[in-house]
This record gives sequence, C-alpha cells and structure tokens, in this order.
Amino acid sequence: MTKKPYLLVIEDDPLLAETMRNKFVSVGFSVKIAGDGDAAMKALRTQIPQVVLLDILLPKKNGFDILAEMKIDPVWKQIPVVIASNLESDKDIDRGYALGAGDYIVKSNLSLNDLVQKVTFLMNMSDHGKKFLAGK
Amino acid sequence: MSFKLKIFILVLLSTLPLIVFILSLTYREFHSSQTAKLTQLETITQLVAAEHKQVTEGARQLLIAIASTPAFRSPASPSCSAFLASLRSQYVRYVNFGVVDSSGHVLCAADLTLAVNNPPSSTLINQTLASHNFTLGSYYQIKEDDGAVINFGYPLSSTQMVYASLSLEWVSDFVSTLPTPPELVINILDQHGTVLARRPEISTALGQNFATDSLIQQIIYDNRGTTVRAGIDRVTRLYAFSSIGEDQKTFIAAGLPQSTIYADIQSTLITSIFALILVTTIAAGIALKIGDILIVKQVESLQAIDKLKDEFVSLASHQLRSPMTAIRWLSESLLESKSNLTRNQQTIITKIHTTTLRLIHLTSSLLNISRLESGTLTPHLKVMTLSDIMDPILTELRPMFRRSVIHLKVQIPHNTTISTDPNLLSEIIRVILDNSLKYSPRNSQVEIKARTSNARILIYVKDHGIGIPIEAQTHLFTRFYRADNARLYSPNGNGLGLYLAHLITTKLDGTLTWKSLPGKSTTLTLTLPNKV
Repeated sequence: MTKKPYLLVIEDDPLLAETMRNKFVSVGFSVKIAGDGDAAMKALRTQIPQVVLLDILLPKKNGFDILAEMKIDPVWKQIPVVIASNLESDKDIDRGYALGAGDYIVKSNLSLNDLVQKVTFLMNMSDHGKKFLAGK
Repeated sequence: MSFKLKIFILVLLSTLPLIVFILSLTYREFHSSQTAKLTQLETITQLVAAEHKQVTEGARQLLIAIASTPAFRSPASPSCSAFLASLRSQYVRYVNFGVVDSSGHVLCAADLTLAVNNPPSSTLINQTLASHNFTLGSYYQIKEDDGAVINFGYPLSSTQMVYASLSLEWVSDFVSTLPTPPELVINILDQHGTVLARRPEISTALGQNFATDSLIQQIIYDNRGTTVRAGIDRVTRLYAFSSIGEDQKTFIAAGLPQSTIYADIQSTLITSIFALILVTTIAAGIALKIGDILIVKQVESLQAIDKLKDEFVSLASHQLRSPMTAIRWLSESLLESKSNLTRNQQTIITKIHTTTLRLIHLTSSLLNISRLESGTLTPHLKVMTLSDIMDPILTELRPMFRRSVIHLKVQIPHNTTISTDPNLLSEIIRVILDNSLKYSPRNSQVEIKARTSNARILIYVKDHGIGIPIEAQTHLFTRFYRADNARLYSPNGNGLGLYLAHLITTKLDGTLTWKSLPGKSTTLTLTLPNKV
C-alpha cells in the first residue's frame, strides 16, 4: 500500500478546515487539522508533515509566529509551508515570504482545485517532498 | 492651491485696507505739506510787498529831506554832486542820486556817468513835475550793471527834480533776513516778463524776457496767487506770486521745489511701509504657524480616521471572506459530486457559487478602493513582459468569453517589457475585459491590443457592445455610478469596476480614457508610463 503524503492544516475555522480535509483526503493526502497555535506545535512535534497549510489569524499563536519557530528548527525548516489566509495586504504577504513561506494564497481567491494544485506543486518541488516521494 | 498659500494670500488681502490707509495718509500729508508750503511762500511775497511799501516810504522821506537841503538851491554847483555822493555812501541800497531838469539833463549826481547813461525816464520826470509830489517809477535794468533799479522822483522846482535809484538787491537782502528754507527761489519780473532779479542768481536769466513761459504768463495775468509749475529753469516748484508796488508793473514769485514736499512725506511713507512690512510679516508668520498647527491637527485627525477605516475595512473584509470562502469551496465540492445532484440542484448550487464569487470580488474591490483612497496601497513595481502579465488574466477569462459566445481577439506583442505592479495592472485589465464581456452581445468581438509609443504603453480594449450613453460618459469613473443601459443589460453590476480601475491607473501614473458610440462600440485606452 502506497504511503500517503501527510498534510497538516493549521486553520481555526472548523468549516473551512473540514472542507479542506475532505478535498485533500479525496485527492490522496493524509490530513490532520490543528485549530490553534498550540495544537499546531503539538502536531508538528508528534509527526513531521510533508507539507503545511497555515492560516495566520489563529488563537494562542498566530501563523507568522508558528512559521518563525518552524524556520529556526533544523527539522521543521525543511517542511514546505503554504500560507492560506484571507489577509491580503502587501505587508502580510511580504512578511510571509520573508519568514520563509513557499507560497502565499488568499483563500477566497482560489478554488479548492487550485488550492490542491498549489499545495501539491510546492510539496513536490521541495527537497522535503522529494525525499518523501523518493521513499514511497 | 495649498492651504498655506491660501492663508498667505488672506493675510496679504487683509493688509489691503492698511495699504489704502497709508496711501490716503500719505496723500493727506502731501496735500497738507503743499498747502503749508504755499502759505509760507504767500507770506514771503506779502512780506516783500509790504517791505516795498516801507522802502518806498523811506525813499519819499529821504527825497523830501534832500529837497529841503540848501545845496539844492543851485544844483549845478559841485557841492551838489559831492553831497549826493556822500549820501550814496550812507544809503548803500541806493545806486545813485541825482538832479535832472524837465528835459532829462543831469544837473548833478552822486555818479554822473551812471546818471547820464541811465537817466530817469521822461515819464517819471513829467509825472513828478506835473504832480509836484513824490513819484515812483518802475524797476528796470541799468546799463552798466546786471542789476535792476527803481527811480523815485521828487520835485525841487517846477523844472527840476531830485531822484534816487534804488537797487533791487533790497529784495534779496530782505528775504535773507527771513527764516526761509535754503531751496527758496525768488524771481522779480517786470510786466513784460523780463527777469529783473533772481535769488539765487542766474546770470543767464537776468534781463532775459520769458513772456512765453507759462509760469510767467500766469504771474502777469493773475497778479497774485499760487501755482505748481516748472519754472524758467524747468524745475517744478510750488510758487506764490504777487505784484509789488501799486502800479502792478513788478512781480515777485517765491518758489520751493516740489521735491521738498516729497522729502517731507518720505520719512512718513518709509516708516509706514516699514511698519506695514513688519506687521504683514508678523501676521503671515503667526497665520502660517496657526495654519501649520491646524493642518497638523487636521491631518492627524484624518490619519486617525483613515487608519480606523482601513482597519475596519480590512477586518470586515477578512471576517466576510472566511464564510464566503467556505460557501465557495463547499459549493465547488458539491458541484464536483454532480452524480449525486439533480439538474435543478446543480443549477441552484452553480448560482450560489457564482454569487459567492461576485461577493468575494466585491469585497476585494471595496478593500482595494479603501486602500487606494487612503494611500496605503503602494505599487510594487516589477519589470515583466506585458504578455506575462496578460496571459493569466486571459486564461482565466477566455472560458467566460467562450460561454458568452464572444470572440476575444488578442494582439499583445510578446517582447514588450514594462515596469509596473503586475497585480494592479491585472486588476485594471480584468475590470475592463469583464465590462466588455458583460455588455457585449453574443457573436460579437472584443479586441485587446497593445503598443508602445514614446516611453508609454497603450493598451486598447474595444468591444461592440451597448456603448456608453453621452450623458453617462462624464460619470464613468464615479463610484457606484451605473449608466441606465448598463443597469438594464446587466442588473448585477455594482458600479465599482471602472472607479477602481481609474483609481489604480492614477496610482500607476497612467491615464484611462474612453471613446464610445452609444449602441455600437466602446474603446477604453489605458496609457501607462514605460520606465524600462
């Protein structure tokens, strides 16, 4: 049986999180949802995901802080991160890329299929994702 | 016009009454100074006229005294001339004394030569002998001298007359005893306009006739009065003039240069102008300072409001987007599982999806408009080819054109590069193409083409749709405005598209213009600077 890529969705809106889970599961991902910053850090410590979908406005710890912590950890910094937020100011987008996000998408502007495409593309192009694909 | 400039102009305007006041004050001072000077000059001429009477009376007394002297019982004797010579040395104002007979022969004189060369006029002799009384002649120029004299006669007998020649210098001597300004000019004229004496002296004027001079004419004509005129030396002066003597054959004119009045008011004027400049400067300084404070307060207040508005719009937009994203994604999920839905359900869900997309787009537009209006949206310039910017939009929109059966004709040069914010330019193109799509009939054509010209890039979008009515054309970029035909043709618009496109174009230092034939076609031209 083929090992599924593990996607960690860090999203506090349960409806959006559930919709994303259903979609990504339907295209072959294993999905875990973290509804706040603490849950996200716990999930990261529990299992290393192949790719992370990260919201910014989150309870307990915001997405930028989570990303910053990931990028100083020698293991976590390998994980490709797609920021999926509805904040679309230049300031937020620039900050996301500056912290090391692989992509920054505005959720409302993207269809679910486009979202899957972007996440899959980023995962497949990253060294972390390539290692996973090579080890499958 | 800037706020500060307005304040400055207001301050200047507020000083206008002050300027008028100063000018009126100066004029009054000028007028008053002129009147005072004319009065002073009139006084001088009157004093000279009065002194002339004194001098005449002095001459009369002197001649009566001479006539009663025994030496004149035989005027031909040498003692007569000696006596008169001694008199002349005592009365220095007199040029000569002499005795003449009725024919004008000089019988004796203090200065015989002078007497022979300048005898008293026959008129004076005849009048004196006929009246048996003291008689005065007129001033006239004597031959040996540049000076003028007047002869007084007194009868010694029925055929002889003693006379005294008085030099006109007495006028100058007299005036010098008066407290007069140094610029004072005195002219003594006879009734023919000949200058008999002048103080200060001008040798070229003495004895010259100035009958054609307007000042001299006025003096002779009016006898007495004041005037402001150029004199015989062409200097404009204030003059007071009067006849001296009762025969009105000799005139005195006392003049002061007009420049002395200016000198009088100069100090007042300079002080006033200096005070005005000082007051204006201080007032402008205070006004600008207050203006600064007001501007700063106003700007701070506006900035605070703008920030609040920005934060509100941003937060509201974010809060609205989450549920809209959920509806969008859920409807997309439903539409993907078509097999489980009836056709009617599919139609309804498609409508939900389309409406949600419109809502999302509207929210984005409002957010962008808010940022553009508050100036918080900064273009991020990138150098890209025009086709790299256009291709994704065209890819996104082509399916919609196909669905509406509208042919999209694209002529974008592949090698044209542009330095611009690709996202903002994309938004403009999206708005324009979206409008063309919305307002064009089936089977029509929409053309988009671009070209470069003089460091500019021009992008044209031409459709063959409903066009823009003439009355709507001036409102094209007005927020929430929709033309009547647009409302009828496509009720779902929000009137923000072209307003947003225009705002963005301005932000990119470009222009957005239109040409439309109502009912036939519309061409929108986007012109952007190409700094590459």
